[in-house]
Amino acid sequence: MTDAATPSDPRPPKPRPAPVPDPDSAPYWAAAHDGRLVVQRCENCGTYQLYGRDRCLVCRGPVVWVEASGKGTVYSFTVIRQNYARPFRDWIPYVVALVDLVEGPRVMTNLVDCAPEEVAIGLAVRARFEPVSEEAGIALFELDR
Amino acid sequence: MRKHAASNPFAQKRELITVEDVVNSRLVADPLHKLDCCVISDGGAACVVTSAERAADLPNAAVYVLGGAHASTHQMNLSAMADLTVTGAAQCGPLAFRRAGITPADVDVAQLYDSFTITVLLTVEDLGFCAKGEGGAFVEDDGLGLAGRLPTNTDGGGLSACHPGMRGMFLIVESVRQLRGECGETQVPGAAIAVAHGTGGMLSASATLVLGRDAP
Repeated sequence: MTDAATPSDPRPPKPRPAPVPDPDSAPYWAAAHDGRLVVQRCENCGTYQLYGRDRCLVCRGPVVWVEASGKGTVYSFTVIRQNYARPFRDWIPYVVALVDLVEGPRVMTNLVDCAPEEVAIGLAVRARFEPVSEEAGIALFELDR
Repeated sequence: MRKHAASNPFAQKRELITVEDVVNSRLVADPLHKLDCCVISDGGAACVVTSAERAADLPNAAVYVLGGAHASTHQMNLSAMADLTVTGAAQCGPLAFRRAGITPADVDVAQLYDSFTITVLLTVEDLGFCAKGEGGAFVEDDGLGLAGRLPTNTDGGGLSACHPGMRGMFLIVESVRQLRGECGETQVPGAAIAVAHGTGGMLSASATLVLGRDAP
C-alpha cells in the first residue's frame, strides 16, 4: 500500500482539548487540576467507580469522591498511528491505554513519556497530571519504573 | 470477504487481496492495518416488514423472522467493557437461536457486522460457531467462504462492499437475498436459514436476527 499516513500539519500545535465539567464530573476534573486522582466510592456497598455518576452502578447507593492511589496496571492498549484531528495528529504515534486502577475502576488514558514499544499488558503505571483549563486537569499515566 | 466482493458489482472494493497485502498495509491503530478496517461509504438500505398473510399477496417471495434478540452490555465508553474479548453476542446470540428453535449448526449463511477483522472473530466465537479463542482457526483456509464452515458476508461485508455507518440494514438485505436465491455467483446453494448479527456502540450493543426461507 502506497497511501500516506496522516500528513504533517504546518500550523502551530494546538493544546489538548479541555473538558466541560458538569455536576457529576466537576470534582474529578478539579482534583486532576490540583494533581490528585479521585474515584467514587459507594457509601452503601463500597464499590469504586469512574466516571462520576449520581449513584452507585451496582446498588444505586449514594457515592462520595475519595482520593485514589494513582497506581494501576495496563489492561490493554493500542498505538494510534493515524488521526487527522488536531491536536492528536501532532502526537502520532501515541499510546491509548485502558488502565485498571488498584481501586478497581478502569480508565481510558494516554501513556506518556515512553516509547510505544515499551508498553505491554500488565505493566505497572502511575498517574500524572496536566492542567488544561482553570477548572480542569487531565490524568495521564506513565510507566511505574 | 474480498472474494465475495469481487463478485458483487455494487461493492466498493473488488480487487482481490492476499494476507500479505493486509499485513503490509499501513498500521492505523496497532495491531489493525488499513485493510483490517471497514471502508467508508455513502449509501442506504431499507427493508419492508409486514405480516405473513399480507406478504402472500406481494410479488416477491417473503422471508420469515424466526427469532431475534439484542443485548446492551455497557455504556458508550470502552473503559466500561468488562472483558474486551467478549461482546453482547454471547448473550443475544444464544437467545435468538433458542427463540428460532435452531442451533449454530443449522445456519446456512451469516451476515456478521465487520467494522474490523477482529469484530468478525469475536462474533463467530460469541455466537457459538466455534469455541472462545478458536475464531482464528475457524476463519482460516476460507472458512467463511461459500464452501467454507460458515459462508459469511456474501456481499463482501463492511470490509469490502460498503459501510455507510448503519451497516446493519445491509446485513438484513443480504440475508433476504440469500434466502430468496438472488445472489448469483455468491449464492449459497439451498440457503434456508440466515443469521444477521449487528454490533454497535463501543462494542456495547449487539443484535441477532434469524431469518428463514420457509414459513415456521
